[in-house]
Amino acid sequence: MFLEHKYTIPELISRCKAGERKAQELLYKQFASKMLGVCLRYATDRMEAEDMLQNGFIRVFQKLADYRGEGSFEGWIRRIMVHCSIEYYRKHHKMMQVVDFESEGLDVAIDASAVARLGAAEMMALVQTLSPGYKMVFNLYAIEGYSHHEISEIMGISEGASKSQLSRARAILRELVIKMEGKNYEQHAG
Amino acid sequence: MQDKEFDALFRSKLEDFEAEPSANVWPEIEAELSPGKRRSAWVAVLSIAACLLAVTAFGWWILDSKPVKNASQQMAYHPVQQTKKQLDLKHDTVAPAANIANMNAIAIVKPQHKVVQKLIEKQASAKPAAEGTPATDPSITKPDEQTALASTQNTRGELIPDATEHIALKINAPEVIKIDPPVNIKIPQTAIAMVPSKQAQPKTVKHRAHTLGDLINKVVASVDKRKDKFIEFTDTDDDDESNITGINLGILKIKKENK
Repeated sequence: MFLEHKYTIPELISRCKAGERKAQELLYKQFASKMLGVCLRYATDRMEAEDMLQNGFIRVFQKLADYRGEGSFEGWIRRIMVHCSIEYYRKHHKMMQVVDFESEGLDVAIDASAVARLGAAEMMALVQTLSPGYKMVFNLYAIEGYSHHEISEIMGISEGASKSQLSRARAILRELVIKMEGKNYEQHAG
Repeated sequence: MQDKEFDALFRSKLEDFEAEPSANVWPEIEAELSPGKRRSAWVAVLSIAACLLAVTAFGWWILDSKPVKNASQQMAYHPVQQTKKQLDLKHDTVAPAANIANMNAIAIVKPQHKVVQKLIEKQASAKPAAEGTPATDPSITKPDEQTALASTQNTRGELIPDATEHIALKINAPEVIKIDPPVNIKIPQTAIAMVPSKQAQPKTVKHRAHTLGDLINKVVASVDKRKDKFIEFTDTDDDDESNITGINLGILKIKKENK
């Protein structure tokens, strides 16, 4: 029951703007999986991620009129998804405790290959275990590619806080990778 | 390992991470979209159109009920209704030929109601004023049309509608008569009974709804076909205010004796 015929993205967009339900569904199906992938990184669990996804898409359709075709459409959706996810998280959880402290320089030596060996799902699991402040900042900086300045605006924290959150996040992740590596090693070896 | 490298490794695996959403996600999104978005334009347009229609229809009705003051108010279409006033027959505008084209003269005889639809009340002879100002008279007919009326006339030369019988209005000017089907020609039975005892007013046309109560009566009459309506108001000229004279809710029936 998919496409009767293939629509291009611009076609799909204009039909969605016109309110064509079928087109809206197709647009959703086109991007839903990827966007859920985005939301998972900001959520604490799967259910929350899907709630974020829902809100995100509703916002996408609401703001569709604003999309003028500049830049990648997927990037546009993604940005909306990120903002909605953070918004959702703030609404449903206590304000993220972003502690502004200098990184303690816990640079655990880690082998790049160790990280490379991790599967995507494992990495996702690691990110999800981070506490909110670290999680958001790491996602925004390392994955979405926002600058500290932009992050400070999105999250309402100082740039300094953003930087320290980021280095803390990395440190924690490194430790987690090692732990996971250790587990993997044990499983393989044992 | 450098931070940048570390970030890059995570990014490479996570930025295109895909996961299949549950089946219930889209329906919930859709639910948010449809009532709000898609339909809003439609609903807005339709409801505006409906309102305008209702206002227009109501306005027509009101205009038709009110005393005609000037030519512009002469409605093409006057539902003939008998009020409980002296002159229980409502005029339609049998306007001078000039206006005829625009008018739907109501000349419907409804046997079951035994109602007069069209009553030409004033005669040019009896009402000089009418002659001079045909436009103001809601039911002016040409002099030669007077004779066509089947109603009886009293000594004053006025027409008394034979409400108890059919009054077929024969009007010479064929163009005048246009049946207006949707018009309510219903006449409260009680009003009909009162007609014979009432006479047309000398000069003024008192067959319009003067009061709000009378207007409501008309509206109610179109809906409630019973002898006693579910609610009735006074509609005499003497009453400036409208009082309820009757209620008939099936279970509860109240009716003032003297209307």
